[in-house]
Amino acid sequence: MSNANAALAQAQSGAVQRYGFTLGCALLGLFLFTGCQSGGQTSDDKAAPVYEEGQSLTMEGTLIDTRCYPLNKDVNRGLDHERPEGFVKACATACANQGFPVAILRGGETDGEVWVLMTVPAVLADYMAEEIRVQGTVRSTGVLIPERVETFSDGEWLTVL
Amino acid sequence: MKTIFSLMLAAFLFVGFTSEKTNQVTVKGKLIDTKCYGMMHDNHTNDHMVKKGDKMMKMPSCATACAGMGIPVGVLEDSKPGNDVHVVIAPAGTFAEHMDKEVRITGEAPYAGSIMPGKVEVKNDKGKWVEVEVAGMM
Repeated sequence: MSNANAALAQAQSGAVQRYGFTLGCALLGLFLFTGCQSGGQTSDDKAAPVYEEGQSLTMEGTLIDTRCYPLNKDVNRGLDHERPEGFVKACATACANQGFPVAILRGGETDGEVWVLMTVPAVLADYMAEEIRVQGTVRSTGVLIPERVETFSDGEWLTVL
Repeated sequence: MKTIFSLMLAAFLFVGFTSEKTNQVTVKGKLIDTKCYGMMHDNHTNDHMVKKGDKMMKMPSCATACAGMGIPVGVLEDSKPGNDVHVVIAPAGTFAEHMDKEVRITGEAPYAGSIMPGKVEVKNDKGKWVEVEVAGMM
């Protein structure tokens, strides 16, 4: 009987150890996965293009309102925006007229680069959500001092600033 | 086994905790006019030197005027020329009277080189932080 008890105890102990080992492996896997995820992000960041102050750049994209775009990147790159208070018609124009800085969304994609334009926003209020071409100088990565802003209309670029 | 298990659990919890995404940042420095500072780093005060023809001319209260016109304002980190500048995603005009003052802004940084303010404090003449209201804050 005591032999049977001992065998049972040994079997239980083995089961606990196996269970612990499996759980440990699962946690290790999860830990390594989490580590890899954050490591990948750093690696991506390092791969991002580096811009230097004073560098001349010309880029094309959509003229966006910097206040609303982060709230809903799909909808709020247009003229009408989804805001916490509801859907606002011609919101981009209103925000630019209020003085919120405007930016160019390079390429027009939701995951594109956003470059905030160092100019009086109200001057560009009439061109919000339009395709624009900006020639300017890099202040820092993501911040551009525009020297010329053009919009695309009837098959040609028109200078608006 | 227990020790290994405990260590793994602790490491996992630590990584999970530290990798939690928080976009809140606080930047401290002085409020500058991004346009004139971009032309010349000496233009980090309220009075600026600007080019008129071949000559450089002193423009008193230029930063206040530029902010009043709507040119975006920025925070010059630690008030040291050459340091990073964070463009403030808010109407510049509301900052006009605070140009060249020390500010502390807490908010989100949705774009490189910018901050969307949630809370703005300005250091007053007595060295005390005073919260100021800015239009359209989060």
